[in-house]
Amino acid sequence: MNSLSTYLRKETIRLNISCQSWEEAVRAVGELLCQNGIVESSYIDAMVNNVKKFGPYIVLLPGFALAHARCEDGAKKVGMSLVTLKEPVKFGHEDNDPVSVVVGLASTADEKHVQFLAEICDVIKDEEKLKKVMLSSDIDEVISIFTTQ
Amino acid sequence: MEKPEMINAACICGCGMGSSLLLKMLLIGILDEKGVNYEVECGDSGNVPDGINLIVTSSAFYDGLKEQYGDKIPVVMVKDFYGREELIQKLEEIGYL
Repeated sequence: MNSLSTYLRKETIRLNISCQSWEEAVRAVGELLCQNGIVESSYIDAMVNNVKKFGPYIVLLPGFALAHARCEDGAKKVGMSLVTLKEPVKFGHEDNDPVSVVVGLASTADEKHVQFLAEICDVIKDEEKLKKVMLSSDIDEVISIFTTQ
Repeated sequence: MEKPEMINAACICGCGMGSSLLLKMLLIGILDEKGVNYEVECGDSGNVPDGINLIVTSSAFYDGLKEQYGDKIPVVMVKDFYGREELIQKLEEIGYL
């Protein structure tokens, strides 16, 4: 078990959702964070504005976007959410489009999330694991892929 | 560029806790291996800390940071957040490794 097992919970995961745009996908992970008391609703807008302002730099790895904003934009505690997309969505990133997995991230100012961020990326970089996550319709399976390392 | 006694770096992105954190992990991994003394912070592009001698960032923020700080502080761009070789090469190019 790794630190992800603390933060990756059934309530904050949705699989195979349909999103028509990158903004919808970012709002989807934002809503999950908000519904679970991890962020204020203002944080969701901030996550979207982050991309509108700076471009799709949040598409960190092929097929994967890390939606987030600054702590002061409405993060209440450290947490994350995850969605997989039924159809991949373009964010406009030069190299890493289209996106199939989006993680929403919120943290406090002291980089408490550094460990589980690294663990998320370790899975996403692994092509086989990423594919399993993208194709899965079983939340327990997805949790298991991320927390067994 | 003269090699500093200690690398005092800021990893910069839009929010200071996402991709900048990955850059920090990448940089620290290299500096640990090379036995270089360092302090590395993360920041957002509006809040670059004082007293630094290196900025590491991704392509989205490079031009702006280069323009603002480039004549005084080396600004290094990383395309791949796991690109060890890329970052090592760029640090060598500026004489920091």
